[in-house]
Amino acid sequence: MHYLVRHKKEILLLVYLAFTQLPSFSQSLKDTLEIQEVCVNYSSVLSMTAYKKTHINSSIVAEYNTRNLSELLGENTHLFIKTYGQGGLATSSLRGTSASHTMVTWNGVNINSPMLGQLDFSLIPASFLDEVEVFYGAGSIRDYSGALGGSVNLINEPDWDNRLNIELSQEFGSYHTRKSYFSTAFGNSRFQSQTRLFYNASENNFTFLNTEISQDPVNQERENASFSQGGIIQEFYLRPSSNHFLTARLWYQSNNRNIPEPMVVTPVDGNEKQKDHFLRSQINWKYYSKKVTVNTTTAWLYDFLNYSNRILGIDSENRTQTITGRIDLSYDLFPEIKLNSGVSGDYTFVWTENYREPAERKHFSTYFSAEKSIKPRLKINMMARQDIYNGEIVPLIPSAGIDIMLLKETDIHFKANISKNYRKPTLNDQYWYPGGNPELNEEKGTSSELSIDYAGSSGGILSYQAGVTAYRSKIDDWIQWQPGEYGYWEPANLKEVLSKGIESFLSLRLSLTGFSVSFGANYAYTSATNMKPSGSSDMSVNKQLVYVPGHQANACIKVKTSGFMVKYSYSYIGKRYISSDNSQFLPSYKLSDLSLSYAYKKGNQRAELNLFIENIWSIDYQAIAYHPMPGRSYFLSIRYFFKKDKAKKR
Amino acid sequence: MKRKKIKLLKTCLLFAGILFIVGCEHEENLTTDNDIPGTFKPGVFIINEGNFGGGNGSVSYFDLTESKMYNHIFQEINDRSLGDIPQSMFIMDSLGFIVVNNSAKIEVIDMDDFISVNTISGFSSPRHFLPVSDSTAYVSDMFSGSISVVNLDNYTITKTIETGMSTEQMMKIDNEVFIANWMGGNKILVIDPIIGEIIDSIEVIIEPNSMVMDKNHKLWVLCSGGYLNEEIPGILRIDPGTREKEEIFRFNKLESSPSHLCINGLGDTLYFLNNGIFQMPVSDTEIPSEPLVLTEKLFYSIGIDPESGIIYASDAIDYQQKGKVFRYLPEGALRDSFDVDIIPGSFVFNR
Repeated sequence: MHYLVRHKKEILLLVYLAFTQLPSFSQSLKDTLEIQEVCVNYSSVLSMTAYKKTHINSSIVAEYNTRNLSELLGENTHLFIKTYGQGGLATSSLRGTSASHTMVTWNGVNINSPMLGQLDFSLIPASFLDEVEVFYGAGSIRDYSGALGGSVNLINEPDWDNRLNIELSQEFGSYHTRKSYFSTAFGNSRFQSQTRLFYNASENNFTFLNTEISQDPVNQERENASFSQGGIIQEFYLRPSSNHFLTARLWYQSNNRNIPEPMVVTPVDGNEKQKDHFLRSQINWKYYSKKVTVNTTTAWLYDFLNYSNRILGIDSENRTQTITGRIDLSYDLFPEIKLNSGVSGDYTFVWTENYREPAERKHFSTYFSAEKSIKPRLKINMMARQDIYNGEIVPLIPSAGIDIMLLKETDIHFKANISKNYRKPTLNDQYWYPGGNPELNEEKGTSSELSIDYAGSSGGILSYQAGVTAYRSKIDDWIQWQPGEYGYWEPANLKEVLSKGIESFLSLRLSLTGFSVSFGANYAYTSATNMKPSGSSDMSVNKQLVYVPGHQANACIKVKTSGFMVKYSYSYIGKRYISSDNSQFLPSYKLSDLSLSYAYKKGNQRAELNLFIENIWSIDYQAIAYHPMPGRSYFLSIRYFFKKDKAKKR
Repeated sequence: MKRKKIKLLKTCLLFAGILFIVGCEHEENLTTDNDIPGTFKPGVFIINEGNFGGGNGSVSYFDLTESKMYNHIFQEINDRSLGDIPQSMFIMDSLGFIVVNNSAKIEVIDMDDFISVNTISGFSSPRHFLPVSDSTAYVSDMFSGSISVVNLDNYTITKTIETGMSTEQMMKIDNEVFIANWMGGNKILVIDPIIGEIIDSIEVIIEPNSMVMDKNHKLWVLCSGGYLNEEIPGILRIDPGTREKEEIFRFNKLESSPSHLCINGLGDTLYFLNNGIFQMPVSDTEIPSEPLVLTEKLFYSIGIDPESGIIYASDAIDYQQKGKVFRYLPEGALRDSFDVDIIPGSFVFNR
């Protein structure tokens, strides 16, 4: 009778499949850039220097080899990660937006679920990535429209110097956690192949203090939180001549997890489960000449998701398939003017018993952009993108940016940009049965951003980078699901969200012979409020959105000597409201992790022993209401490397 | 130039430092009304469901003598959460039974002080509680396909009665128990509590979601016609003695989703929700076309005070904030309103 429980089945699916769109954190330490022989990554050729971007380089990514994307982003960027804990769903919130406003691309190809419009970061092992870049706000329109919060690009790259590389690692940790990884790469300066395999599993049966089931808190063991994940990624790179570059990549992964109950609910053994597997493939050809760059990508993505709940009698299977093709062209008209243009097409097909019939979406997008250096220190960028969904034209997306180097010999930049953006409703928003509404409007975003970035070094031993960004973004027709007139949940263009904030970062690095210290810190202030009342009683107006922390910060200090490394990282997540009228909230928390490692190197071989202690002060906290998180946890890993590079010229 | 650089760096550092300090925000405590009611009669309990999986279900109490709303009374008195999705409450003499659906339990409350004296567990998806004798009670269930029989002496489930279907609201009429087979169903099951078996079933319209007894000893059943609008919704009048369907009143719109059939204390006027509050005397021959109360609000639940006839209607607003209870006079004029908690789902009158 009451919508909520009456339609428990649907709601549960919705909650599980769609409502995880509630917001999520993080920041980056920029280490020294490793210059590679040819720096070729994925598709795009636009530099977008006027837009805020965080680049996480391969040496940082490598430190997370047994961990996943949510932890990497959470500790190195301004993203807020909303996580149910190890093995549980992890989604992001960028600048106060919801999970479906962050687009995740794999070497330039959108891999968000077309049903939900979001991606579970816990399913991306960091060991499968070489580099990660995060575009905040409008910078994301370089690759796609619709990422009203921003985008995360996962990058795989070849190392042309490599001849043979083998890596093996095994980790054992608290709560019966074990993680295995193997990778091998071989080739020469024209061909490279890399194969990576991983398998992670955990009982995840940590002990926590349950304060909710009785008057006196009781120690309980977490049940139904076990998970296992395994996958393979194969990459081939071919460079038949210096101006042709061919890439083929294949990624298969299978994941199984039990979904634990909130601590107010008595666990029922193995009741709620999610199994999913996906296959992602892409082929890319890039051609360079003196003035022209051509970049083409085709991709095929297949996703299967099975959600089951025994008590509720749900056993739901969902399959999606996407075929993508895109061409990007870049042309240097004059030395100071660069023109870019591209066209892309996606065809998505969804089979699910949750829709009345299979759904499909055809999406075409085309863009044109110009980048001009007016003076050596002044660059402007103009861009326009046009999207067409199933033959229906979405308004034009314009964007403009400026990048000024303020002082002649100092690397200090002032950047500003302004942009529009539109996000089409997800396929669940349109076709979920019942409730889905094909007539929903697209969400409309307007954003502006100002940044000052500074980078410098002194004496060749100290390098530093710092930056501050202020932004303002407004999203109209924000889609939210709510019970409607006919008794079931339905999406509607309900809210108008204004998000404003400041993001700052600082990184320092001191390098001496055989000794280095680096420090990095990020801070974000986010004010994201709903501006539009749903009725006269609505108290959510001008209140912070749920699960968006007003303040968040992270910092990390790392000391390296020959062989030894000590890293201490700290993160602060401010209080998060859990009711839209801000009457209820989860308190802030501060987490600290410690990592100690020792590496022994002999010739081409290297062995590494690493001890990682998570939540070292055993803080009792909740990232999501009534979902307990583990206290101090230990993870011990051993890694072996064999690496043979091309012979160095003397 | 070098000096300039250092100055710049210092500025940046300072800025970062300030932002860090700003980060150490002030946290006030949850602003709840900390006082608790002195007595729990006469008054109205409002069961706030909270968010699914959110663990934030609660009970509010409206003291009719003081005309004052007390929120989170279970949490305040028992110093712990009530659980996930409290669904219904039944008052039996000095004890209250709160069925907490997603926590699959029943909290047994001492009605003098609202202290939880016991917890009954072992259910699947419990919905309603109904005593059928001094020592036994039935608990309906959405998904288990059975009724749980609870021993009220030791608060354990002693046996289950297989129904093979979802069960919802229950009423004891004479010596029989009438049970609505709501979710996905279209029946009213009749159980003889002495032998503990289904003795009959009455086919109604798809998804009977609520039922009441009138002054003429007739059973009224409101059916929504199904979640996916399979059938035109309707209200049926049944003679519980003969189990005959005496009247079937149909709504005029397939998409309508009427719910929450209630009756006043005199047993002569029905009320229900259908995108507005409707009033229908039991003597009427058709469903009224105009609502008694129509506002921009989409009411979530209603209840009728059996003594005063005042209509209590709840608005869950956006389902993520404190809901509101509006009180209307029996003739439909708005009297007052109060803040309660997230998703106010049912009203229990303790007169």
